[in-house]
Amino acid sequence: MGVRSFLEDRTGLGRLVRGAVGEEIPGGARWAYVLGSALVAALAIQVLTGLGLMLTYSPGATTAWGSVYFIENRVALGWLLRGMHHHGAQAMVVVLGFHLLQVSLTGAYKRPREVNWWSGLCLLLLTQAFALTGYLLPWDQKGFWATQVATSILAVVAGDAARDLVVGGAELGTATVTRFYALHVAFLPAALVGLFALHLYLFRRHGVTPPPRADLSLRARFHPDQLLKDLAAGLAVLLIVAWLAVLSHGAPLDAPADPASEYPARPEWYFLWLFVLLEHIGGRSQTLGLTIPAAVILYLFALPLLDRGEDRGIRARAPWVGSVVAIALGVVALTVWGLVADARDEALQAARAVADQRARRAMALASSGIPPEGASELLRRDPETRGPELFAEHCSECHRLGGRGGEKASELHFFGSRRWILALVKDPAHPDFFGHTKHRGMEPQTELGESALYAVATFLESQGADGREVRDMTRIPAGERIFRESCMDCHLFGHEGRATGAADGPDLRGYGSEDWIRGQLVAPDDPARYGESHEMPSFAEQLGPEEIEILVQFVRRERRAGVSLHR
Amino acid sequence: MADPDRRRLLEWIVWLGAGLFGAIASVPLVGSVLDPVTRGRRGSRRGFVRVARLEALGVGEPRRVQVVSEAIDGWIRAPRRPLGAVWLLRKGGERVRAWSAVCPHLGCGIEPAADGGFTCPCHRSRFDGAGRRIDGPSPRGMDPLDVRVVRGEVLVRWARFRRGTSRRSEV
Ligand code: FES
Repeated sequence: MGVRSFLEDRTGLGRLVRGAVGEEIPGGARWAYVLGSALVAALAIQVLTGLGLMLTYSPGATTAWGSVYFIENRVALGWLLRGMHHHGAQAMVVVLGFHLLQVSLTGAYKRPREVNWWSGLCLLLLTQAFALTGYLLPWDQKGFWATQVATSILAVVAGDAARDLVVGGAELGTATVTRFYALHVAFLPAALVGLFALHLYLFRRHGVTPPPRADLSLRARFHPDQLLKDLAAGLAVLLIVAWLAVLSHGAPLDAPADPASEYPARPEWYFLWLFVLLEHIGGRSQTLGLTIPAAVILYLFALPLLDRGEDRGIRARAPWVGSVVAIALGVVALTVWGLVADARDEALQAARAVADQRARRAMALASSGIPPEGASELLRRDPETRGPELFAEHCSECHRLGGRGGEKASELHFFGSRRWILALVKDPAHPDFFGHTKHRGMEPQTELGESALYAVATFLESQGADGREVRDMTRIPAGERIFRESCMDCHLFGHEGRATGAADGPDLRGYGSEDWIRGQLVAPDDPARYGESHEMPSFAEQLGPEEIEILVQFVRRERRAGVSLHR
Repeated sequence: MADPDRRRLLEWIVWLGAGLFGAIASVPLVGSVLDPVTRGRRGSRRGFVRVARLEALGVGEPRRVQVVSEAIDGWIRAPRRPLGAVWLLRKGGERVRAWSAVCPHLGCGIEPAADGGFTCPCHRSRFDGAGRRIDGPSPRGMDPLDVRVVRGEVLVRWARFRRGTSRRSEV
């Protein structure tokens, strides 16, 4: 007995396969039948790439983003893996749409295939659940905010308890990621396997639905006649998905999720029509926006019960075909509306640009490793990102930067650089300096003469220099001498000098240095600085030490920018 | 209908096509499965890390200390993470010896023995006070590490070694 016949005798697998794919197709093989197989191909891509992603992905609010970044940038072919999973999901939605359209337009849901239609609709809903759960898993801004919106809708529809059940608590967090992950890779696939098996079984039981006037005497075998066409379609799907993944070199990854940030939340494009319904049509009540999609789904489920005639011809079923076409056109129209409205929305585009900038920055920072506290710390600890945010939040009510901000205190653009100091000593009461503050003690020092002031400003600028800075030594000694002669009546210089009377100016030793700025932030009332005339609040309590440091660096950058202008 | 030969050919084309589909669709999966071997290893070797103060070491008393240093673990860069443990033995003055606490047999943690030497609790390998193998399944003596004493601080250079081989080699 040969190996082949031995195996066949003991397992019967060959017969099983022949039985599974060897059936006859009345009316012959057709390209029109390939959509279902194209879906199977898309599903196979999702399974194979999904398995690969699971090797590295780590569900959790502190680890998810980092692991996705790692897949995208470090794991061999990780970018292709994730890119194909991303585009495979889109392919699935698109092909599913066509499959649904084809079945409904040709009336293939009619007796005896009603249950198959229903199982197909359930598979459609299941696919949406895959999309929703998968969207959150990278734990980036896009997924986070889209899920925030989706789960809020759930709370409106089904109550807070339902939302908490899905989210795994009152707030989106690690429990949400683990839940969505479990749904995405175990619960939903299990449901998919069951429904898909039912769908296939029913398809085999009732066979294809040939066009109404097909010549049924024409016969072909599923294997290989139809399978060849199916395979061609499947390969086409695969190549398109792979090609898209190569074009986009992976899939988009937004900045790490940050609940304290602003973000223009938008769902994935295939949910945009729902978003538009809620946003523009539902109005504030949201009831209408939610009723319409629910009604559409119910209607699709009811279709085989409503459209009961024997004739599957399009003309005989005009109202039903019309209704389906109307729904399809409606979805397309709403999607286009949403896309156009978003493209025209300048505020949204501006917010999008900020978000993209943050995403790029996060990527750049992540390339040298992600802190164990999580990827969201990348931007929170980054002076370049956090500096402007902290300044806007805590300083700009009083201070200006390049003309923008509050009017109560000084302009900090180029603060501590020679040009800034020079402008100050010439006109301290200018609104850019002490004009709007209580600090009135300082007179314009114009009688010293231009070149002396220049020297003093150079000397004071050098007080803030760190070790690396090249200093203009030709002027500094002269500047120091003039400073000691003319300024120390009012100003302290370290332990030297005596501030007298009402005109007590701040200690200018180390002026503009990190220590000086830090001191001003945590103890502005220090007698060595503005003492009694200070109006600035202390930030020692409000901000943590890291945030103070970021602000110090932020202000220092202004000084550096000013210094580099004249070097 | 077509003749049987053509049919058989088409059937084969279907199987081949299915195989092709599977092969292409599995490319990125295979890539990430093989990633740990294709990416090339980063050696375990580090710079010197401070592990103890010299005064804290009694002469002739083995002391177990942890090596804590920056670690890169996947996408995470942890500034301070325990890399492993080291046995220190001060011979007097500034003369200090250090051995990895990882057993050269199969990697268990080596402990001090009552006789002043060392022993591994897993399969009872025994080592003398100089880290030399006495008996047991360990194929070699304990793995020595480079030590330096700088201004009263003991520094050790952490490394990992291949296990189960009589020849000592770093990994
Ligand atoms: S691991 Fe130490 S003796 Fe086996």
